Amino acid sequence: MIKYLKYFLPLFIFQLSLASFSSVGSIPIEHYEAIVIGKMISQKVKKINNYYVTEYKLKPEEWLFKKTAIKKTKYIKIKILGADLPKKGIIIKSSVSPEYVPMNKEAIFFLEKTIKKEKKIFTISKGGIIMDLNMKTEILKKELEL
Amino acid sequence: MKLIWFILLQVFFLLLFPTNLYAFTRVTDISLGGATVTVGNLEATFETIKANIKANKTIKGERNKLPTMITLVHGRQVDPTNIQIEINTSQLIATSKMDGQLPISNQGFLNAVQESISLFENVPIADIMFKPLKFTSTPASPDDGRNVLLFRPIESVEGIASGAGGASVSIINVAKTENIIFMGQKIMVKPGTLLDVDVVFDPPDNDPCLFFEIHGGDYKIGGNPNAVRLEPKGKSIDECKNPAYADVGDFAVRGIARVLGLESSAIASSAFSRSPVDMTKYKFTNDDEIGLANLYPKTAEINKTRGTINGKVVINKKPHIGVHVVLEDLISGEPVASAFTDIEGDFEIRAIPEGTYSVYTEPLDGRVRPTDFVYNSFASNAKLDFATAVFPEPITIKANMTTSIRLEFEKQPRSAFNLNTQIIPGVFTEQEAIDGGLGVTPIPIRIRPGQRISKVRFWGDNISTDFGTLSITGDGITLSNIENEHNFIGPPICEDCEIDETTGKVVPEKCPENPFCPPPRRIAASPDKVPGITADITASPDAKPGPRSIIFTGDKLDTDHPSFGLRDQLTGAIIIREE
Repeated sequence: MIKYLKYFLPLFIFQLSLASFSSVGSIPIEHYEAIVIGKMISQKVKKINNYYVTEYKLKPEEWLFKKTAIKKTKYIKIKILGADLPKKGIIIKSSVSPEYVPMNKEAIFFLEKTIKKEKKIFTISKGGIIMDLNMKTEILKKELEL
Repeated sequence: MKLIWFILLQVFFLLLFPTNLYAFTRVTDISLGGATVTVGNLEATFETIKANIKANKTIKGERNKLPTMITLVHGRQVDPTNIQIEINTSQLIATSKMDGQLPISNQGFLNAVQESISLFENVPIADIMFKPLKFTSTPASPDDGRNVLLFRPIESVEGIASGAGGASVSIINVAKTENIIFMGQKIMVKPGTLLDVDVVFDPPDNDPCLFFEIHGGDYKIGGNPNAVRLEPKGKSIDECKNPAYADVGDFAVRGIARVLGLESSAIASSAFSRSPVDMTKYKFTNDDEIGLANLYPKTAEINKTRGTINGKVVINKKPHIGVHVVLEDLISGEPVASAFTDIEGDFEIRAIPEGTYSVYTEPLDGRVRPTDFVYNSFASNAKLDFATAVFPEPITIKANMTTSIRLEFEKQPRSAFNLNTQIIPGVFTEQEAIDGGLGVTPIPIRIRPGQRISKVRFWGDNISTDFGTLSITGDGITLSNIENEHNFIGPPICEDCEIDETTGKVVPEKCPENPFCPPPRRIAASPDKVPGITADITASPDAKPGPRSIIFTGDKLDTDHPSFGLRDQLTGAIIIREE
């Protein structure tokens, strides 16, 4: 898998760059701390400084990319602004968060530094989760044909 | 047994979508018992429903029953003629040496936001009214029932990324079920009620310097041509790695749209579109007004001169979700309104001006993408496996009448074209990109009557004069000097620089300064080059102001070629602005 990284990673990154509007430009690859295939295995809603934040536990299955300073761990802690509160019957969504975070389902996660730049905690932005692994396979196939 | 389930599911869907009011892009959500449903987990949701129906047979009491019905939630203000917005500028101070602030008084902020509110209130076909604006110093909170526009908070909004994502975060609190707990009380509301919307401008610790400013003058189509960027007092832009300017009015328009339950538009020329970088003093387009009227209709006014279109999009005999359906004025070429199809492939747009329109369907695979839509389930779950298709006959819209169409076509082989004019390749040469760093082409391209813009770049798969023709919709605007050119595309791949064993630091000679991969990283591989076209765009002196679209049509290929006749377009990517 990793040997193919050089083929499809730039495509993903570029797609994310296109997808993520910002008044300050597109997202360079250095922005990501790591890119992993894995599953979210648990979630917990917390209220921090007036805002609802959901903390997830991600179990990585494959590290597609990571910065040198990042150490591979068995589990990864992730904080994302927003919360689904079914007991209260409400949902709090944020424009910078992923539209949907899959639980117990394999996906590709693009991990970023949190605003507080915590060392072992990451976040994921809008467009930072790719659930359709077939898409990855298709891109790989296309690249291998060339 | 399978047949029974099939029928049951069909019944669910019929109950799910009693009205197909998805014009414009608005806040929608699909849920089962309060849990979000997406295309990705739809099958699993059906399994859950099956299991819940089975389990409910043994559960006593209606209250204890497990959810078996999927519900559709539309974000909407419950009292749209009595909306309160509060402004919080109390924390608008420089928080680091990189920050600056233009000298804007609270009255200045108030005037700019009030002017933006007036834009919404003055839409003749929408029924919206705001309470007088007021200032607050209380921090924003998504469960206090207040809609706050907050400029530059000191406290961190946790759970977001550092240094990316732009300078604005909107947080909405939506009721997903009828019985909710809000502000500590059990209350009953219509699902979709917007309980609280806060828009935070400039989360702390974002990388760029951000300067708020206010531009005077009236709102104009295509923005204010006289808008000038001011240098903040005592600050030099040179101090900032990546300065960003924010017009308070621009931000307010987007913030107010969120408060009303509107998502971004997929038409680039719209005031609610995500794409514009510099939209200072921008007037509402037809798409903006129609979107608003679909949410908060002023029915008597609409019935006088406006009609409705609805229909279904079926590709390979299956309904398609998230198809962008666009109505283009046949004479002016303006993309007048658009909608996304729902999970059943249905769409409906009300409040369309009387006239004759071309209708086309396009995938969100170009400048606008599904990930641009956080708050709209249909757009964020859009299927992209089809090419643009144009309805064969023009459509006539008449006042107080509904026109129904069915767009049914066979899936084309992957579209040969994917037209773009954004991000680096649109504006920079390779050297300029390296010198100037990452950049964004201002989209929509704004041009005045009588003006000529030279060497505008378009790029993408097979975008070449060998394969097709570039054109702009409507009269009064032409393309010339069309030439093929291989453009630069990025960003490149970076790698770690070598570390000197003795010093433990990078070797400067082997780690040159580069905006894409700054030390201690360097470019590992050169960026790819893709085909493209450059062209001059000219607007005639009598060109009518308004939005247009840019189209690439595959007409130079062999007629038997699968891409012959296919097209791709940038909807609303150019605006002829007022003088």
